[in-house]
Amino acid sequence: MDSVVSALAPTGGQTIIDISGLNKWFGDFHVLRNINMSVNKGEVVVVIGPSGSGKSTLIRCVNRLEEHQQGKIVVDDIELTDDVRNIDKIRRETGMVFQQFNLFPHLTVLDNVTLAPIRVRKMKKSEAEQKAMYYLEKVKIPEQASKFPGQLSGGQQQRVAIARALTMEPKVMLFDEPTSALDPEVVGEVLEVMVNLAKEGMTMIVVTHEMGFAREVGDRVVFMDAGQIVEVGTPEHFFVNPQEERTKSFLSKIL
Amino acid sequence: MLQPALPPPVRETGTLAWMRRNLFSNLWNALISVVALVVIAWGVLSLLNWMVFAANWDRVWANLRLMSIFRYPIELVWRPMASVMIVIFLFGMSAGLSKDGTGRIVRSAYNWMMGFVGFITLVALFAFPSVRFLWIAVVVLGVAGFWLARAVPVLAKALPWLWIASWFVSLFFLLGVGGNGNNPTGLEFVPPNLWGGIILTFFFSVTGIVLCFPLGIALALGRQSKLPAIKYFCIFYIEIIRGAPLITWLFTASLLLPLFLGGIRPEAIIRAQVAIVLFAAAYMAENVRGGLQALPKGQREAAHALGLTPWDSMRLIILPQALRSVIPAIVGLFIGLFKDTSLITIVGLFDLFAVALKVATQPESKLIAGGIVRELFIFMAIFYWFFCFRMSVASRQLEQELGLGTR
Ligand SMILES: Nc1ncnc2c1ncn2[C@@H]1O[C@H](COP(=O)(O)OP(=O)(O)O)[C@@H](O)[C@H]1O
Ligand SMILES: [Mg+2]
Repeated sequence: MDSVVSALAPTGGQTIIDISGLNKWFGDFHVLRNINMSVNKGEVVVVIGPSGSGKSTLIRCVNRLEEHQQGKIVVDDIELTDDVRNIDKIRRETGMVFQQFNLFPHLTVLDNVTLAPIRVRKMKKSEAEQKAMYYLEKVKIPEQASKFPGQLSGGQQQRVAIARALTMEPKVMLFDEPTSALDPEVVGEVLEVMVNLAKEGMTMIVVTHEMGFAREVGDRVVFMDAGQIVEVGTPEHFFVNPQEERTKSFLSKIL
Repeated sequence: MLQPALPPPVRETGTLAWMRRNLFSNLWNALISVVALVVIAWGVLSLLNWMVFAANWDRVWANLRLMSIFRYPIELVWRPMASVMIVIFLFGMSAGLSKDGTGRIVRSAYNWMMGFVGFITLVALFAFPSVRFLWIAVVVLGVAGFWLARAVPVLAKALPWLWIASWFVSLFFLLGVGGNGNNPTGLEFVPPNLWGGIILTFFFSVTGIVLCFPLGIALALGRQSKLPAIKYFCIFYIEIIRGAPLITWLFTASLLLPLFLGGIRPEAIIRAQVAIVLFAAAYMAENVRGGLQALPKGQREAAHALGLTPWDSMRLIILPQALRSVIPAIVGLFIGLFKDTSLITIVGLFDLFAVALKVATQPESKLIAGGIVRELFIFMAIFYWFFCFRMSVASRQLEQELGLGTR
């Protein structure tokens, strides 16, 4: 139990995301139940759990793609309320990568990546393009800048999506099963980009079933089931001696 | 061992092979094809035969001016022509400024338009000396606009404003404000019941198309609004309008609009235009709504997650995609609107169709056996077909161009 407690309330470092007493319903359906969780600057938190357990809903609450009904979410000292200004500020500081990429198909790769910096950060076009090329190089596809998303492979599209989020220079990155929609042979190229990002110190919450990723760069793993956090610990803790029955049975299915 | 890559089996090409495959693949097919070809050939040949040898085109020919501008005073004919010049000039500029991609569509439409205008100019050169130079000026301006824009690309910034201004200027020329016979500062007023024919058909449809577009988008977005007042107003509006035929609304606008305006009774042309715009907007709204619903929800989410304002995500992400997916439906609506303008005759306006009917019932026409109805109708059919077909070509080009390299 030691590791669970220490993991729930990380000591040292600076808290950047603080979620407490979070409850959410879809109609009558209680999808998130009393979630408490905080993330430190530079930490990589991996969220695992069976399908429908509320993982996506949890990270989508962090940037207000979903509205929560109870509890408190604080991102970078800004509390998420109905105040549109706060929502805008938080969205500027959080980048999100979706399972289905969600690139804008009518814009070129470069326009996809520069759109938000120009519109939201009010950056000059030339400056935004420079920045965009920097991040496209980082995800290793600068040569695709003038193509349309539809002309790229899934792995390339997801890397563009990562570059698009990074060009806003967010403080936190949220990943919702970024490799689940990919063909197996291109999963590696996306994970590699994410591993590099983690090693550079980006704060990340990653919903994924890629245990190799969790083991390599994960600081903590959160196991969710039926809208609750069941168990939290370091990757070693999870793979060596998970405590809860539900965790064990889930891990036995995916490992 | 690796299987070597084989070339695909040879497939016969050429017209004959195509015919064998598609028309004469078996006895039954061949029989149907032969019968169909004979029927079609017989029909087309008899029509052509009639058009060339039996039809009497004199009436159409003699009434071209009536059908173009109706009873617009002959000494002021330069004014409708000036509106034509403005539009063709801007058309030329747009073509000159358009680049690859969607720009090709503008250029191709421009080429067609210039071909059409050139044809009329040729006819005018030989047959209608009074407007000869005006038509030459139209052609010259069309070409000049193209090259001017080529030479001065910064004009691109002004182009949208020039187009908007052109509407007001054209209206100013057509209608005239201020002056009368002995007051030279201004253009003599020409009441709208005098102008009509093709120029009215065009003015009416273009205005209708341009105005129903933003209004339809606004209604479609309103229908999705979270505010119940707006949402239900839009639903109510759309469903009411779609619940009755256009002709009803044209009458209604004629009778009711003055009530809403506290007794002020706008010109018939304005009442009819309002009715057409409000009518088309309801259909436009439903088309746009189809496009909005077809858009994957992830697109909105991605825009939100990036922090785009609702206005920016609507303008830059959602609408461009929603609209492109319903281009065929929207162009269909525009084509319908263009043809439906012929209904304005019932509120006393004379568009091309109304003028043609009037011509057909002129006393002199009665002297010709069987009247000249058929000739006039064929003339109109060709006119409407030409522009409707051109619109549908542009729609297909647009689809192709926008589909390229996206999904
Ligand atoms: N917009 C929604 N409306 C109603 N129910 C939803 C909605 N989104 C998700 N759910 C339900 O909430 C539960 C959790 O969903 P989700 O967070 O997507 O799970 P996970 O990402 O862990 O697979 C599921 O049962 C799902 O059906
Ligand atoms: Mg999910």
